[in-house]
Amino acid sequence: MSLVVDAVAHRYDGDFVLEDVSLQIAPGSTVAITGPSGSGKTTLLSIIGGLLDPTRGTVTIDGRPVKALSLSTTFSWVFQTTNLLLRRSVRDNVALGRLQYGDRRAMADTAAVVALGAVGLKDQVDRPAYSLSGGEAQRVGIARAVASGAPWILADEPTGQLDRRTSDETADLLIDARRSDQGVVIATHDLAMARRCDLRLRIENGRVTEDR
Amino acid sequence: MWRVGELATEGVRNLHANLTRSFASLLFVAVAIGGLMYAEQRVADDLTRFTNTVTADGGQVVVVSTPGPSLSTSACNRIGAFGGVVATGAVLDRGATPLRTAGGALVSDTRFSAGAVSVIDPTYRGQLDGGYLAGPRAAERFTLVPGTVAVLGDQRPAAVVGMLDEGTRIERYETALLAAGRFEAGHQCLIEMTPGNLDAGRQIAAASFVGAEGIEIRTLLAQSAFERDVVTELDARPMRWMWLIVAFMIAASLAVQMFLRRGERAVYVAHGAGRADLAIVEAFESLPLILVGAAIGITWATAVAAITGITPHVGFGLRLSVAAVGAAIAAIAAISLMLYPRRALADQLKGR
Repeated sequence: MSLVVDAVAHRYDGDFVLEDVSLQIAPGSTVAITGPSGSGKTTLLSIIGGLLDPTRGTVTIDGRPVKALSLSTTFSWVFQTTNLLLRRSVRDNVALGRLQYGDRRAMADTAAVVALGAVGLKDQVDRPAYSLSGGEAQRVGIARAVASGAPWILADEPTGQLDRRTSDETADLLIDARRSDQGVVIATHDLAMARRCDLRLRIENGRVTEDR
Repeated sequence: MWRVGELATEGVRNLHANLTRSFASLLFVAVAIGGLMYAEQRVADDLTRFTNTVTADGGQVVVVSTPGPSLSTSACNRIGAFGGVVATGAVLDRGATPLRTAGGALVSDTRFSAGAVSVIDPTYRGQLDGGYLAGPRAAERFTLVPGTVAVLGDQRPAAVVGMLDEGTRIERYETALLAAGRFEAGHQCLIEMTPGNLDAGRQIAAASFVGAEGIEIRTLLAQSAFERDVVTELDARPMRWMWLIVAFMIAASLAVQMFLRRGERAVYVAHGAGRADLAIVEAFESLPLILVGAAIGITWATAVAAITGITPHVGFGLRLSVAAVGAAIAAIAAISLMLYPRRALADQLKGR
Protein backbone atom coordinates (compact mmCIF):
# COMPACT_ATOMS: atom_id res chain seq x y z
CA MET A 1 0.00 0.00 0.00
CA SER A 2 2.22 2.75 -1.32
CA LEU A 3 1.39 6.21 -0.06
CA VAL A 4 1.70 8.97 -2.66
CA VAL A 5 1.49 12.69 -2.00
CA ASP A 6 1.14 14.49 -5.30
CA ALA A 7 1.60 18.25 -5.73
CA VAL A 8 -0.07 19.05 -2.45
CA ALA A 9 -0.41 22.69 -1.43
CA HIS A 10 -2.18 24.17 1.55
CA ARG A 11 -3.03 27.70 2.43
CA TYR A 12 -3.75 29.19 5.87
CA ASP A 13 -5.17 32.69 6.04
CA GLY A 14 -4.12 33.44 2.48
CA ASP A 15 -0.50 32.24 2.88
CA PHE A 16 0.74 28.93 1.55
CA VAL A 17 2.28 26.81 4.31
CA LEU A 18 2.84 23.95 1.89
CA GLU A 19 3.62 24.36 -1.78
CA ASP A 20 3.83 21.65 -4.38
CA VAL A 21 4.77 18.84 -2.01
CA SER A 22 5.19 15.47 -3.67
CA LEU A 23 6.56 12.29 -2.18
CA GLN A 24 6.11 8.57 -2.28
CA ILE A 25 6.43 6.32 0.73
CA ALA A 26 6.81 2.59 0.42
CA PRO A 27 4.74 0.32 2.66
CA GLY A 28 6.44 -0.68 5.89
CA SER A 29 9.00 2.09 5.74
CA THR A 30 9.71 4.77 8.31
CA VAL A 31 9.74 8.41 7.31
CA ALA A 32 10.72 11.40 9.42
CA ILE A 33 9.47 14.87 8.58
CA THR A 34 11.57 17.54 10.23
CA GLY A 35 11.65 21.29 10.08
CA PRO A 36 11.30 24.39 12.26
CA SER A 37 8.19 25.07 14.32
CA GLY A 38 5.34 26.28 12.15
CA SER A 39 6.96 24.95 9.00
CA GLY A 40 3.93 22.80 8.17
CA LYS A 41 4.96 19.37 9.51
CA THR A 42 1.67 18.79 11.31
CA THR A 43 -0.27 20.21 8.38
CA LEU A 44 1.34 17.73 6.02
CA LEU A 45 0.73 14.88 8.45
CA SER A 46 -2.94 15.90 8.82
CA ILE A 47 -3.35 16.03 5.04
CA ILE A 48 -1.76 12.61 4.69
CA GLY A 49 -4.05 11.23 7.39
CA GLY A 50 -7.15 12.73 5.79
CA LEU A 51 -7.92 15.04 8.72
CA LEU A 52 -7.31 18.11 6.60
CA ASP A 53 -8.21 18.70 2.96
CA PRO A 54 -5.35 20.19 0.92
CA THR A 55 -5.97 23.37 -1.01
CA ARG A 56 -4.51 21.62 -4.03
CA GLY A 57 -3.12 18.22 -4.86
CA THR A 58 -3.99 14.69 -3.82
CA VAL A 59 -2.96 12.00 -1.39
CA THR A 60 -3.52 8.43 -2.52
CA ILE A 61 -2.83 4.98 -1.19
CA ASP A 62 -2.51 2.37 -3.85
CA GLY A 63 -4.11 4.82 -6.22
CA ARG A 64 -7.16 5.50 -4.08
CA PRO A 65 -7.68 8.94 -2.53
CA VAL A 66 -7.36 8.78 1.25
CA LYS A 67 -10.77 10.42 1.63
CA ALA A 68 -12.28 7.37 -0.01
CA LEU A 69 -10.67 5.07 2.55
CA SER A 70 -11.67 4.33 6.10
CA LEU A 71 -9.36 6.76 7.82
CA SER A 72 -9.45 5.10 11.20
CA THR A 73 -8.50 1.71 9.86
CA THR A 74 -5.90 3.05 7.43
CA PHE A 75 -4.11 5.36 9.84
CA SER A 76 -3.36 5.15 13.48
CA TRP A 77 -2.19 8.30 15.23
CA VAL A 78 0.35 8.94 17.94
CA PHE A 79 0.37 12.49 19.24
CA GLN A 80 2.69 14.53 21.38
CA THR A 81 0.04 14.65 24.06
CA THR A 82 -1.14 11.10 24.23
CA ASN A 83 -4.80 10.72 23.45
CA LEU A 84 -5.86 8.30 26.07
CA LEU A 85 -9.14 7.90 27.89
CA LEU A 86 -7.54 8.96 31.15
CA ARG A 87 -10.02 7.31 33.49
CA ARG A 88 -9.89 4.00 31.71
CA SER A 89 -7.35 1.26 32.14
CA VAL A 90 -4.27 0.90 29.99
CA ARG A 91 -5.71 -2.27 28.48
CA ASP A 92 -9.02 -0.58 27.62
CA ASN A 93 -7.15 2.20 25.84
CA VAL A 94 -5.10 -0.15 23.73
CA ALA A 95 -8.12 -2.35 23.00
CA LEU A 96 -9.76 0.60 21.21
CA GLY A 97 -7.33 -0.05 18.38
CA ARG A 98 -8.96 -3.43 17.79
CA LEU A 99 -12.55 -2.76 18.76
CA GLN A 100 -12.89 -0.42 15.81
CA TYR A 101 -12.52 -3.41 13.52
CA GLY A 102 -15.48 -5.14 15.12
CA ASP A 103 -13.37 -7.40 17.32
CA ARG A 104 -15.07 -8.78 20.39
CA ARG A 105 -13.84 -7.47 23.72
CA ALA A 106 -11.98 -10.64 24.65
CA MET A 107 -10.05 -10.65 21.38
CA ALA A 108 -9.30 -6.95 21.61
CA ASP A 109 -8.10 -7.34 25.18
CA THR A 110 -5.80 -10.18 24.18
CA ALA A 111 -4.32 -8.13 21.35
CA ALA A 112 -3.93 -5.22 23.75
CA VAL A 113 -2.01 -7.30 26.28
CA VAL A 114 0.30 -8.60 23.54
CA ALA A 115 0.96 -5.07 22.29
CA LEU A 116 1.52 -3.80 25.81
CA GLY A 117 3.97 -6.61 26.37
CA ALA A 118 5.90 -5.41 23.35
CA VAL A 119 6.26 -1.93 24.85
CA GLY A 120 7.16 -3.26 28.30
CA LEU A 121 3.87 -2.55 30.01
CA LYS A 122 2.48 -6.04 30.37
CA ASP A 123 2.29 -5.66 34.13
CA GLN A 124 0.49 -2.34 33.95
CA VAL A 125 -2.60 -3.37 32.00
CA ASP A 126 -5.05 -2.57 34.78
CA ARG A 127 -3.58 0.79 35.74
CA PRO A 128 -5.75 3.81 35.00
CA ALA A 129 -4.23 5.88 32.22
CA TYR A 130 -4.15 9.04 34.34
CA SER A 131 -1.58 7.46 36.64
CA LEU A 132 0.97 6.89 33.86
CA SER A 133 4.09 8.97 33.41
CA GLY A 134 4.51 10.84 30.10
CA GLY A 135 6.79 8.15 28.74
CA GLU A 136 4.49 5.33 29.81
CA ALA A 137 1.49 7.08 28.28
CA GLN A 138 3.36 7.51 25.02
CA ARG A 139 4.19 3.81 25.03
CA VAL A 140 0.52 3.01 25.54
CA GLY A 141 -0.30 5.23 22.56
CA ILE A 142 2.24 3.40 20.46
CA ALA A 143 0.96 0.03 21.64
CA ARG A 144 -2.51 1.07 20.59
CA ALA A 145 -1.28 2.15 17.16
CA VAL A 146 0.61 -1.11 16.71
CA ALA A 147 -2.28 -3.23 18.05
CA SER A 148 -4.67 -1.57 15.64
CA GLY A 149 -2.80 -3.12 12.74
CA ALA A 150 -3.47 -0.01 10.66
CA PRO A 151 -1.07 -0.04 7.69
CA TRP A 152 0.13 3.48 8.50
CA ILE A 153 1.10 4.99 11.83
CA LEU A 154 1.23 8.78 11.80
CA ALA A 155 3.13 10.25 14.75
CA ASP A 156 3.08 13.97 15.47
CA GLU A 157 5.93 15.02 17.75
CA PRO A 158 5.68 11.77 19.70
CA THR A 159 8.72 12.60 21.83
CA GLY A 160 8.07 16.31 22.25
CA GLN A 161 7.50 16.13 25.98
CA LEU A 162 9.81 13.30 26.87
CA ASP A 163 13.33 13.23 28.25
CA ARG A 164 16.18 11.90 26.14
CA ARG A 165 16.13 8.37 27.46
CA THR A 166 12.36 8.01 27.11
CA SER A 167 12.53 9.60 23.66
CA ASP A 168 14.98 6.96 22.54
CA GLU A 169 12.77 4.20 23.91
CA THR A 170 9.77 5.66 22.14
CA ALA A 171 11.70 5.93 18.89
CA ASP A 172 12.69 2.29 19.25
CA LEU A 173 9.09 1.25 19.63
CA LEU A 174 7.84 3.29 16.68
CA ILE A 175 10.57 2.12 14.38
CA ASP A 176 9.95 -1.45 15.52
CA ALA A 177 6.45 -1.15 14.08
CA ARG A 178 8.05 -2.00 10.77
CA ARG A 179 8.19 -5.56 11.99
CA SER A 180 4.44 -5.75 11.69
CA ASP A 181 4.64 -4.20 8.19
CA GLN A 182 3.23 -0.91 9.36
CA GLY A 183 4.55 2.19 7.69
CA VAL A 184 5.42 5.01 10.08
CA VAL A 185 5.44 8.72 9.28
CA ILE A 186 6.81 10.86 12.09
CA ALA A 187 6.73 14.65 12.29
CA THR A 188 9.47 15.53 14.74
CA HIS A 189 12.10 17.97 15.92
CA ASP A 190 14.06 15.07 17.30
CA LEU A 191 16.97 14.65 14.89
CA ALA A 192 18.24 11.56 16.67
CA MET A 193 14.93 9.88 16.03
CA ALA A 194 14.83 11.17 12.45
CA ARG A 195 18.24 9.70 11.74
CA ARG A 196 16.94 6.23 12.52
CA CYS A 197 14.21 6.43 9.88
CA ASP A 198 14.48 5.05 6.37
CA LEU A 199 13.67 8.39 4.80
CA ARG A 200 14.14 11.90 6.19
CA LEU A 201 12.25 14.83 4.73
CA ARG A 202 12.71 18.46 5.70
CA ILE A 203 10.09 21.13 5.30
CA GLU A 204 11.21 24.68 5.00
CA ASN A 205 9.35 27.64 3.53
CA GLY A 206 6.56 25.29 2.52
CA ARG A 207 8.72 23.06 0.42
CA VAL A 208 9.94 19.57 1.14
CA THR A 209 13.45 18.42 0.52
CA GLU A 210 15.00 15.08 1.19
CA ASP A 211 17.39 15.35 4.10
CA ARG A 212 20.28 13.02 3.56
CA MET B 1 -17.09 -1.13 12.32
CA TRP B 2 -17.75 -1.21 16.04
CA ARG B 3 -20.03 -3.80 17.53
CA VAL B 4 -23.04 -2.23 19.22
CA GLY B 5 -22.46 -4.33 22.31
CA GLU B 6 -18.90 -3.06 22.61
CA LEU B 7 -20.03 0.54 22.21
CA ALA B 8 -22.51 -0.04 25.02
CA THR B 9 -19.74 -1.55 27.12
CA GLU B 10 -17.59 1.51 26.44
CA GLY B 11 -20.38 3.73 27.75
CA VAL B 12 -20.87 1.68 30.88
CA ARG B 13 -17.12 1.46 31.51
CA ASN B 14 -16.79 5.22 31.12
CA LEU B 15 -19.54 5.54 33.69
CA HIS B 16 -17.68 3.29 36.11
CA ALA B 17 -14.34 4.89 35.36
CA ASN B 18 -15.25 8.18 37.01
CA LEU B 19 -17.40 7.33 39.97
CA THR B 20 -17.23 10.82 41.44
CA ARG B 21 -18.62 12.39 38.31
CA SER B 22 -21.21 9.67 37.88
CA PHE B 23 -22.31 9.94 41.49
CA ALA B 24 -22.59 13.72 41.26
CA SER B 25 -24.72 13.41 38.12
CA LEU B 26 -26.84 10.73 39.73
CA LEU B 27 -27.35 12.91 42.79
CA PHE B 28 -28.29 15.89 40.65
CA VAL B 29 -30.91 13.93 38.73
CA ALA B 30 -32.23 12.31 41.92
CA VAL B 31 -32.55 15.61 43.75
CA ALA B 32 -34.12 17.41 40.80
CA ILE B 33 -36.64 14.71 39.96
CA GLY B 34 -37.24 13.76 43.59
CA GLY B 35 -37.73 17.34 44.70
CA LEU B 36 -40.29 17.96 42.02
CA MET B 37 -41.95 14.64 42.66
CA TYR B 38 -42.29 15.52 46.35
CA ALA B 39 -43.70 18.94 45.54
CA GLU B 40 -46.17 17.36 43.11
CA GLN B 41 -47.25 14.88 45.73
CA ARG B 42 -47.89 17.67 48.20
CA VAL B 43 -50.07 19.46 45.69
CA ALA B 44 -51.81 16.27 44.63
CA ASP B 45 -52.44 15.35 48.24
CA ASP B 46 -53.83 18.75 49.06
CA LEU B 47 -56.13 18.82 46.05
CA THR B 48 -57.23 15.23 46.56
CA ARG B 49 -57.98 15.81 50.22
CA PHE B 50 -59.95 18.88 49.31
CA THR B 51 -61.85 17.09 46.56
CA ASN B 52 -62.56 14.14 48.82
CA THR B 53 -63.80 16.45 51.55
CA VAL B 54 -66.08 18.24 49.17
CA THR B 55 -67.50 15.15 47.55
CA ALA B 56 -67.65 12.86 50.56
CA ASP B 57 -68.30 15.15 53.48
CA GLY B 58 -69.41 18.41 51.98
CA GLY B 59 -72.90 19.76 52.22
CA GLN B 60 -74.60 18.85 48.99
CA VAL B 61 -77.24 21.16 47.71
CA VAL B 62 -79.58 21.02 44.78
CA VAL B 63 -80.56 24.47 43.62
CA VAL B 64 -83.77 24.88 41.71
CA SER B 65 -84.13 28.34 40.28
CA THR B 66 -86.42 30.32 38.03
CA PRO B 67 -86.03 33.77 36.49
CA GLY B 68 -88.80 35.22 38.63
CA PRO B 69 -90.09 34.52 42.13
CA SER B 70 -92.41 31.80 40.92
CA LEU B 71 -91.30 28.73 42.85
CA SER B 72 -93.80 27.57 45.40
CA THR B 73 -92.23 27.62 48.86
CA SER B 74 -94.69 25.03 50.11
CA ALA B 75 -93.66 22.68 47.31
CA CYS B 76 -90.09 23.37 48.28
CA ASN B 77 -90.79 22.60 51.94
CA ARG B 78 -92.58 19.36 51.07
CA ILE B 79 -89.38 18.03 49.56
CA GLY B 80 -88.02 17.88 53.10
CA ALA B 81 -90.10 14.76 53.64
CA PHE B 82 -88.13 12.73 51.08
CA GLY B 83 -85.45 10.34 52.18
CA GLY B 84 -81.92 11.68 51.93
CA VAL B 85 -83.05 15.26 52.28
CA VAL B 86 -81.53 17.12 55.21
CA ALA B 87 -83.29 20.43 54.82
CA THR B 88 -85.00 22.61 52.31
CA GLY B 89 -85.52 26.30 52.03
CA ALA B 90 -86.76 28.77 49.50
CA VAL B 91 -85.13 32.14 49.04
CA LEU B 92 -85.80 35.36 47.26
CA ASP B 93 -82.89 36.92 45.47
CA ARG B 94 -82.90 39.85 47.79
CA GLY B 95 -82.99 37.64 50.81
CA ALA B 96 -80.35 35.16 49.80
CA THR B 97 -77.28 34.75 51.88
CA PRO B 98 -74.62 36.65 49.95
CA LEU B 99 -71.95 34.11 49.27
CA ARG B 100 -68.92 35.28 47.43
CA THR B 101 -69.02 32.82 44.59
CA ALA B 102 -72.28 30.97 44.93
CA GLY B 103 -74.96 33.47 45.48
CA GLY B 104 -78.07 32.02 46.99
CA ALA B 105 -76.53 28.78 48.20
CA LEU B 106 -77.90 27.30 51.34
CA VAL B 107 -74.44 26.59 52.57
CA SER B 108 -72.84 29.57 54.22
CA ASP B 109 -69.23 30.01 55.22
CA THR B 110 -70.10 32.61 57.80
CA ARG B 111 -67.80 32.30 60.75
CA PHE B 112 -67.84 34.01 64.07
CA SER B 113 -66.17 37.32 64.12
CA ALA B 114 -66.86 40.49 65.97
CA GLY B 115 -69.83 42.24 64.41
CA ALA B 116 -70.67 39.43 62.00
CA VAL B 117 -73.87 38.52 63.74
CA SER B 118 -75.97 40.80 65.83
CA VAL B 119 -78.88 39.59 67.89
CA ILE B 120 -81.55 42.16 68.27
CA ASP B 121 -84.55 42.41 70.50
CA PRO B 122 -86.94 39.45 70.03
CA THR B 123 -89.79 41.92 70.20
CA TYR B 124 -88.65 43.50 66.95
CA ARG B 125 -91.66 44.02 64.73
CA GLY B 126 -90.06 45.59 61.69
CA GLN B 127 -89.81 44.04 58.24
CA LEU B 128 -88.11 40.65 58.21
CA ASP B 129 -86.32 39.09 55.24
CA GLY B 130 -86.61 35.34 55.07
CA GLY B 131 -85.12 33.55 58.02
CA TYR B 132 -82.12 31.70 59.35
CA LEU B 133 -81.32 28.16 60.27
CA ALA B 134 -78.74 28.26 63.04
CA GLY B 135 -75.99 25.79 63.67
CA PRO B 136 -75.73 24.55 67.27
CA ARG B 137 -72.53 26.40 68.07
CA ALA B 138 -73.79 29.53 66.40
CA ALA B 139 -76.94 29.27 68.45
CA GLU B 140 -74.98 28.77 71.63
CA ARG B 141 -72.58 31.59 70.90
CA PHE B 142 -75.28 34.12 70.12
CA THR B 143 -78.06 32.67 72.27
CA LEU B 144 -80.20 32.04 69.23
CA VAL B 145 -83.49 30.24 69.54
CA PRO B 146 -86.30 29.98 67.00
CA GLY B 147 -87.90 33.38 66.81
CA THR B 148 -84.76 35.35 67.63
CA VAL B 149 -84.31 38.17 65.18
CA ALA B 150 -80.72 38.44 64.00
CA VAL B 151 -78.74 40.51 61.54
CA LEU B 152 -76.05 38.80 59.53
CA GLY B 153 -73.42 41.29 58.45
CA ASP B 154 -75.04 44.20 56.68
CA GLN B 155 -78.19 42.36 55.70
CA ARG B 156 -81.63 43.23 56.81
CA PRO B 157 -82.96 41.60 60.00
CA ALA B 158 -84.33 38.07 59.77
CA ALA B 159 -85.73 35.62 62.28
CA VAL B 160 -84.18 32.35 63.26
CA VAL B 161 -86.69 29.86 61.94
CA GLY B 162 -85.01 26.63 62.97
CA MET B 163 -81.95 24.88 64.23
CA LEU B 164 -79.62 22.84 62.04
CA ASP B 165 -79.52 19.18 62.85
CA GLU B 166 -75.94 18.61 63.91
CA GLY B 167 -76.06 14.91 63.28
CA THR B 168 -76.83 15.17 59.60
CA ARG B 169 -74.39 17.91 58.69
CA ILE B 170 -70.70 18.16 58.71
CA GLU B 171 -69.02 19.84 61.58
CA ARG B 172 -68.35 23.18 59.98
CA TYR B 173 -72.05 23.91 59.66
CA GLU B 174 -72.26 24.04 63.41
CA THR B 175 -70.96 27.57 63.23
CA ALA B 176 -73.10 28.71 60.35
CA LEU B 177 -76.26 30.58 59.86
CA LEU B 178 -78.08 29.31 56.82
CA ALA B 179 -80.54 31.38 54.96
CA ALA B 180 -84.10 30.09 54.68
CA GLY B 181 -87.22 31.65 53.33
CA ARG B 182 -90.67 32.27 54.73
CA PHE B 183 -92.62 33.51 51.82
CA GLU B 184 -95.11 32.11 49.33
CA ALA B 185 -92.93 32.05 46.27
CA GLY B 186 -89.25 32.42 45.76
CA HIS B 187 -86.57 32.54 43.13
CA GLN B 188 -84.85 29.47 44.37
CA CYS B 189 -85.54 26.29 46.28
CA LEU B 190 -82.45 24.96 48.02
CA ILE B 191 -82.47 21.29 48.87
CA GLU B 192 -79.66 20.03 51.08
CA MET B 193 -79.02 16.34 50.62
CA THR B 194 -77.08 13.90 52.70
CA PRO B 195 -73.64 13.27 51.23
CA GLY B 196 -73.69 11.14 48.11
CA ASN B 197 -77.35 11.78 47.31
CA LEU B 198 -77.05 14.68 44.94
CA ASP B 199 -78.44 12.72 41.99
CA ALA B 200 -81.47 11.67 43.98
CA GLY B 201 -81.93 15.31 44.97
CA ARG B 202 -81.91 16.37 41.34
CA GLN B 203 -84.56 13.82 40.50
CA ILE B 204 -86.74 14.85 43.43
CA ALA B 205 -86.37 18.50 42.46
CA ALA B 206 -87.27 17.83 38.84
CA ALA B 207 -90.34 15.82 39.87
CA SER B 208 -91.46 18.42 42.39
CA PHE B 209 -91.43 21.37 40.03
CA VAL B 210 -92.73 19.82 36.84
CA GLY B 211 -94.05 22.56 34.59
CA ALA B 212 -92.40 25.48 36.36
CA GLU B 213 -91.41 28.08 33.82
CA GLY B 214 -87.75 28.58 33.06
CA ILE B 215 -86.72 26.10 35.71
CA GLU B 216 -83.04 25.36 36.08
CA ILE B 217 -81.65 22.69 38.31
CA ARG B 218 -78.00 22.68 39.33
CA THR B 219 -75.98 21.29 42.15
CA LEU B 220 -73.67 22.90 44.62
CA LEU B 221 -71.29 20.96 46.73
CA ALA B 222 -70.01 23.26 49.38
CA GLN B 223 -68.98 26.82 49.75
CA SER B 224 -65.35 25.81 49.63
CA ALA B 225 -65.92 24.22 46.26
CA PHE B 226 -66.37 27.72 44.93
CA GLU B 227 -63.37 29.12 46.71
CA ARG B 228 -60.93 26.68 45.14
CA ASP B 229 -60.86 25.51 41.58
CA VAL B 230 -58.98 22.24 41.50
CA VAL B 231 -58.41 22.20 37.76
CA THR B 232 -57.15 25.78 37.71
CA GLU B 233 -54.90 25.17 40.67
CA LEU B 234 -53.50 22.10 39.02
CA ASP B 235 -52.85 23.96 35.80
CA ALA B 236 -51.34 26.95 37.55
CA ARG B 237 -48.92 25.10 39.81
CA PRO B 238 -45.33 26.26 39.26
CA MET B 239 -44.01 22.70 39.10
CA ARG B 240 -45.71 22.32 35.76
CA TRP B 241 -42.97 24.37 34.15
CA MET B 242 -40.30 23.16 36.51
CA TRP B 243 -40.49 19.71 34.94
CA LEU B 244 -39.52 21.22 31.63
CA ILE B 245 -36.75 23.21 33.26
CA VAL B 246 -35.48 20.13 35.11
CA ALA B 247 -35.47 18.11 31.88
CA PHE B 248 -33.50 20.91 30.26
CA MET B 249 -31.09 21.15 33.21
CA ILE B 250 -30.43 17.41 33.19
CA ALA B 251 -29.81 17.45 29.46
CA ALA B 252 -27.67 20.59 29.78
CA SER B 253 -25.54 19.20 32.60
CA LEU B 254 -24.83 16.04 30.66
CA ALA B 255 -24.23 18.03 27.49
CA VAL B 256 -21.68 20.20 29.32
CA GLN B 257 -19.90 17.04 30.43
CA MET B 258 -19.96 15.83 26.84
CA PHE B 259 -18.50 19.11 25.67
CA LEU B 260 -15.80 19.14 28.34
CA ARG B 261 -14.87 15.60 27.37
CA ARG B 262 -14.86 16.29 23.65
CA GLY B 263 -11.24 15.16 23.54
CA GLU B 264 -12.33 11.71 24.70
CA ARG B 265 -15.03 11.71 22.06
CA ALA B 266 -12.38 12.61 19.50
CA VAL B 267 -10.37 9.56 20.60
CA TYR B 268 -13.36 7.40 19.75
CA VAL B 269 -13.80 9.12 16.43
CA ALA B 270 -10.12 8.63 15.70
CA HIS B 271 -10.81 4.95 16.28
CA GLY B 272 -13.57 4.69 13.76
CA ALA B 273 -16.60 5.65 15.83
CA GLY B 274 -19.24 7.33 13.67
CA ARG B 275 -21.94 9.72 14.77
CA ALA B 276 -24.35 6.94 15.65
CA ASP B 277 -21.59 4.98 17.40
CA LEU B 278 -20.79 7.94 19.62
CA ALA B 279 -24.48 8.40 20.35
CA ILE B 280 -24.63 4.81 21.56
CA VAL B 281 -21.63 5.33 23.84
CA GLU B 282 -23.21 8.51 25.17
CA ALA B 283 -26.55 6.79 25.61
CA PHE B 284 -25.02 4.11 27.78
CA GLU B 285 -23.23 6.76 29.78
CA SER B 286 -26.27 8.98 30.22
CA LEU B 287 -29.25 6.65 30.38
CA PRO B 288 -28.25 4.82 33.56
CA LEU B 289 -27.62 8.14 35.28
CA ILE B 290 -30.97 9.55 34.24
CA LEU B 291 -33.02 6.42 34.82
CA VAL B 292 -31.41 5.34 38.09
CA GLY B 293 -31.30 8.94 39.32
CA ALA B 294 -34.97 9.38 38.54
CA ALA B 295 -35.84 6.09 40.21
CA ILE B 296 -33.92 7.10 43.34
CA GLY B 297 -35.56 10.52 43.31
CA ILE B 298 -39.04 9.11 42.92
CA THR B 299 -38.42 6.57 45.66
CA TRP B 300 -37.15 9.03 48.23
CA ALA B 301 -39.81 11.57 47.36
CA THR B 302 -42.50 8.96 47.93
CA ALA B 303 -40.86 7.80 51.14
CA VAL B 304 -40.51 11.34 52.48
CA ALA B 305 -44.11 12.03 51.50
CA ALA B 306 -45.27 8.99 53.43
CA ILE B 307 -43.16 9.93 56.45
CA THR B 308 -44.48 13.47 56.49
CA GLY B 309 -48.08 12.30 56.36
CA ILE B 310 -48.70 12.97 52.69
CA THR B 311 -50.67 10.27 50.94
CA PRO B 312 -48.37 9.22 48.09
CA HIS B 313 -49.79 10.00 44.66
CA VAL B 314 -47.14 8.15 42.72
CA GLY B 315 -48.93 7.86 39.40
CA PHE B 316 -49.35 11.59 38.99
CA GLY B 317 -45.69 12.48 39.53
CA LEU B 318 -44.53 9.33 37.81
CA ARG B 319 -46.15 10.31 34.53
CA LEU B 320 -44.50 13.72 34.71
CA SER B 321 -41.17 12.17 35.70
CA VAL B 322 -41.33 9.85 32.73
CA ALA B 323 -42.13 12.79 30.47
CA ALA B 324 -39.23 14.83 31.89
CA VAL B 325 -36.83 11.92 31.65
CA GLY B 326 -37.97 11.25 28.09
CA ALA B 327 -37.43 14.87 27.16
CA ALA B 328 -33.98 14.85 28.74
CA ILE B 329 -33.01 11.67 26.91
CA ALA B 330 -34.28 13.02 23.60
CA ALA B 331 -32.33 16.23 24.16
CA ILE B 332 -29.17 14.29 25.06
CA ALA B 333 -29.51 12.16 21.95
CA ALA B 334 -29.90 15.26 19.79
CA ILE B 335 -26.98 17.03 21.47
CA SER B 336 -24.83 13.93 21.16
CA LEU B 337 -25.47 13.78 17.44
CA MET B 338 -24.78 17.49 17.05
CA LEU B 339 -21.50 17.43 18.98
CA TYR B 340 -19.85 14.93 16.65
CA PRO B 341 -16.28 16.18 16.56
CA ARG B 342 -14.98 15.11 13.16
CA ARG B 343 -14.51 18.57 11.73
CA ALA B 344 -12.07 19.62 14.43
CA LEU B 345 -10.69 16.18 15.09
CA ALA B 346 -7.03 17.02 14.51
CA ASP B 347 -7.21 20.09 16.69
CA GLN B 348 -9.07 18.26 19.42
CA LEU B 349 -6.65 15.37 19.42
CA LYS B 350 -3.64 17.65 19.43
CA GLY B 351 -5.10 19.97 22.02
CA ARG B 352 -5.70 17.38 24.69
